[in-house]
Formats: sequence, structure tokens, C-alpha cells
Amino acid sequence: MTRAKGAFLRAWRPVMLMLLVYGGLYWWRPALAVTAAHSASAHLGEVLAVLPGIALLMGLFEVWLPAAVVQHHLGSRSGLGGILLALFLGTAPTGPLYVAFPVAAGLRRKGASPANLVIFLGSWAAIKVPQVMMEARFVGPRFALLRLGLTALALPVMGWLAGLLVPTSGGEEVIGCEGDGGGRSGGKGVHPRREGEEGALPLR
Amino acid sequence: MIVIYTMTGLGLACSLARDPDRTAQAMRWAGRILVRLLPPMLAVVGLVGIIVGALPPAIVSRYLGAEAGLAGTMLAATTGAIMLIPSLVAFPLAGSVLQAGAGVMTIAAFITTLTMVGVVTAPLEARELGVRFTVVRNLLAFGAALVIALSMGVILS
Repeated sequence: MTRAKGAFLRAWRPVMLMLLVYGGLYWWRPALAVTAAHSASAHLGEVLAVLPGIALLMGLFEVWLPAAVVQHHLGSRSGLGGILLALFLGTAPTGPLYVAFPVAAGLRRKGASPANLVIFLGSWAAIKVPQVMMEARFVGPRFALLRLGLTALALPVMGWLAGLLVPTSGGEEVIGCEGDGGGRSGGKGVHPRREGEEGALPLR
Repeated sequence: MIVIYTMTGLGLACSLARDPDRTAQAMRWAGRILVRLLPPMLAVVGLVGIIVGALPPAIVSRYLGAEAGLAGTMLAATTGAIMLIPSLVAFPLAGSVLQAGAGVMTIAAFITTLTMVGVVTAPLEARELGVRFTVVRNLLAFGAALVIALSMGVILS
């Protein structure tokens, strides 16, 4: 239990750090701190509005979507269909890009290729239909559409290059060994098979 | 957002109908994901607040509008890569940068890196998808932003 608790606290370190920063900011420049808190809460609202839905969707995917299907449609051999699917999938959801990272990770665990994931993430980031409409309002439709088109063209190229530069490993090994240590909580290695292991204790 | 919740709702309904146990499993998984993701997301959101507060649109648009040409484009791309602002704020910002006189290339680079490159979110990305993937994707996105910006500069002038 201690190990899990330690991991849990470590996960919250960045947040506590952030609170300290805000506190310090308030002491130094109160007006700034207030503005920052204001913007942060607005953005938080945006994120919280989307996060449960995405988490639930990911839960459903994880449980129902067979790896074979993902591999077939989004794996390294999926070709043009995979590219288009990745592009399309990225456009539907809303929310900032970093919410997409776990979704992409889940897909990768099931066998999606890095190339298609790059496309998916890029699409999520830069090509979202409601976002484009808003963009057109501020920078003009011609600019917005042109950027959209060019980005849509650039993404497959990016994907292709990513496919060359990032190895597609067997699937599960992907997550866990790479990445920085900082703040990895006990639930990080969410593996379908180790389902019952809430407290990260391999006692079963 | 509607799309997500519609899909989720439908999926949940079907899942419940087909297999309640698996559905419970899915929901437990979802709960775990939420718990796992909440801390880094909160930290990022906090950061967003500070960035938006510290760099009001006026300053950014003056800063970016001043430079033009290739230097301006690079500057915009770098700024966009580092900054992390919600799209709700990003586009009005882009609009005001445009009005401040920035060129097409500058804004295109800015928007593209702003959305696609995330230096601040890189740790989170690396944790989810691996360091190599993160570095590769962000670098490619940066490069793509420059290419897109240059193309737009050529096409629109």
C-alpha cells in the first residue's frame, strides 16, 4: 500500500507545484494571479467538459475493440485507408491536443501505427470543423481553408516520415520503458490483463 | 463535444445491452484513466492560465506583428510551439495579430505550431506515447508549420 500511496502523491506533485506558483504569483502580482486563475478555470471547464466523455469512450474501446480490428485499420499496413481514417477520427472530437494523448496511447496499445497516430493527433490539433469555422471568422475564410487544406496535405507526409523514424513495436512494450520518470502513478501500466490490480500490488 | 457524447452515449447503451459485466469493466477502466490523467491535466491547465494571463493578446500581437518575413515566421513558429492557449483564445489572438500588420506567413506558422506543437505538453505526451514519438512528432509538426507557412505566403501574395 505504501508504494501505491507514494506513487499517488508523486503524481500530484506538479499540481502542488502549480499551486505554489500561483500562490507566489499572488504575492508578487495579485492582479496577474487573478487573471491567470480566471483563464485557468475557464480552460479547466473546457477540459472537464470533454474528459469524462473521452475517458468513457476509451474505457469502451479498451474493453470492446479488439486489437485485431485496430491493427487492421490503423496499423502499419493499413495504407491509404488508415491515413484517411486517422485524419477523419481526429476531426470529430473537441478539446485541446493533450487530451488526445491518452487516446492515442490506447490506440497504439491496440496496434495502431505511429504514422497514423501522428496523423490522428495532427488532425485533432489543427483540423477540427467547429474550430475552422471560428478561425474563418477571425482570419478570413480564404486563409482558414487554405491552412486547412495545406495541413491536411502535410499530415500524411508527416505520418510517413514518422513511420520511418519511430519503430512500430509489438504493441504492449511501447508504454512503460520510455518517457521521463516524473510523476508516474501506480496506475500507469494499465494493462488489460492486470485488471484487478487497483493498488498496483501484484498480490493476485 | 456533442459528437463525443453522442458516440459515448450510444456506445454505452449498446455495451450495457450486450454485456453488463464488460460494461462495468469499461467504466472501471474509464475511472482509472480519469484518475491517472487528472493531475497532469490540472498542471497543464494551471500553466495555461499563467500563460494567458502573462501574455495578453495586445503584447503578443505587437511582438509578432513587428517582425516580418522569414525571421518573423520563425519567431512566430517558436512562440506558437512554446505557448499553450486554448483555441477559444487562440483565434481571436491570431485575428488581432493579423490586424497588427503581421504577414500571412507569420500567422500561419503561429497557428500551426500553436495547435500542433507542444513544448509544454511534451512531458505528458512522452509519458503516454514515448519520448521518441514525442520528439519526432513535434519536430515534424514544427517543420510542417514552416512549410505550410511558406506555401501560404507564396500562394496568398
